[in-house]
Amino acid sequence: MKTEEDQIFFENLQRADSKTLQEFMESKAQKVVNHVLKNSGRVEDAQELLSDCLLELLKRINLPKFVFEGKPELDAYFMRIITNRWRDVLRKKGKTYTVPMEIKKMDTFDTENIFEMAELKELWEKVIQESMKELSTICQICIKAKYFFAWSYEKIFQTYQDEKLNKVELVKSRLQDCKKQFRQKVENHPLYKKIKKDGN
Amino acid sequence: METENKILKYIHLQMNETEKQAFEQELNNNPELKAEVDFWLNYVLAEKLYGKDGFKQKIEQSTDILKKNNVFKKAEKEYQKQRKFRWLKISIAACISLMCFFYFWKIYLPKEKQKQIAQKTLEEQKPANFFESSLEFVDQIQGFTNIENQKDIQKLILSGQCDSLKTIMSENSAAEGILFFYYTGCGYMENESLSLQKLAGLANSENSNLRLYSRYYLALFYLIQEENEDQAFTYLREIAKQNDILELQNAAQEVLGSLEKI
Repeated sequence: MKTEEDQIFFENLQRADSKTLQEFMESKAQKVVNHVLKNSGRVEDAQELLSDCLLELLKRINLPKFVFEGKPELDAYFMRIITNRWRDVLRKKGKTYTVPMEIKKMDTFDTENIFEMAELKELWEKVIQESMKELSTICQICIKAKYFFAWSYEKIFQTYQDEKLNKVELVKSRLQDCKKQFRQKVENHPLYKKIKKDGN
Repeated sequence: METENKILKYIHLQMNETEKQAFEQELNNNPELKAEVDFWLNYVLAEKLYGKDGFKQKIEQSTDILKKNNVFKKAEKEYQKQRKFRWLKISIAACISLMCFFYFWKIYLPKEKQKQIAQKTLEEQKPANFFESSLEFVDQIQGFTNIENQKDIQKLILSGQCDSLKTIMSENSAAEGILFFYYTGCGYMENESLSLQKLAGLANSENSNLRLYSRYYLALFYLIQEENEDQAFTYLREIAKQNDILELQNAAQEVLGSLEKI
């Protein structure tokens, strides 16, 4: 059952508010260090694991399909990401792994291989970023304003008034053109085929 | 335009639950729209996570602060402390278990067995009733040649007139001792503290028969009560060595033999 306080915490975490992030990491540091040291790791591994998994958590909670049920559930969800990720790291290193009791109890519904998914997503993000860089500055501005900041055409026009965007209609048509270019660049990226192949 | 707005609202998590469900239904029925949404959702996520001042950068900054505040080192120390105490706790638990095992095996069990043997011996020697034990007493009393009115005593015992016996015996100090021995020792401790007191009084009697019998029963009762055990063993060994009363010697040897097997 989520409280109002939980909801505020979640919204702050969702937009990666620095103070909330720091508090969250601080509250989880001991558990993560315990888990890693208990399972053939070092403190440095725990630091890296905490950062990686927090990024993964932020990624997941920013997806529309994510449903926030409460802070305890979110904590458990995060610890599951931690244990799954560390298990995969160890599996790659060929070391043994002990599943903690509390994780065993809750790990009955999610068997997704987070590590591989995360790798795939990182590739995908790389493709998008690199393709974006290949666009003209005006296209980058339009796409970022429209899709990242969800600005209206009027706001884009008012903010970036110049000779190429001197009408709202021009912004619309320019954006349509930029969208096409962007998708083409993404589809022509050398890593795109690999992602499609692995994703399927 | 409507679709464009929906996509934007969806990827920016601005839809309410009803709108979201309806739109997701639409996405399931329209693969092209789903591909479009996925594409822009990935773009938005990539920007949020890896863009300028993105989440990754913020996490790195927070990690640096935690490192600066030695949060991870403190956590490591705490972990080592917990581990250290865990071993200490395990060691203490193991020591206590060993001590309990030692106590049970080496002290409790032998004592219980010792108690059982003494009880069993007493049970075996316990007279079925007062009259039967009186008959035994008659045999024993024959050994005490210095007792006056010996025959009268024997008769009274055989006829079960113990109250009259008391009166006669009170006139003879040695006989009184035997009477006490009889009532308290052979009478099997109906009043334990009084019986033990009387038996202890007779244990140093000058009369050797009286002394040996009282010591034998005293030893058995000491063993049952788990007190003065050294004294009990001394008495039993002494009785086992003597040759005056063979029956008592055999009984003492049997008890000692059983106790030595433990």
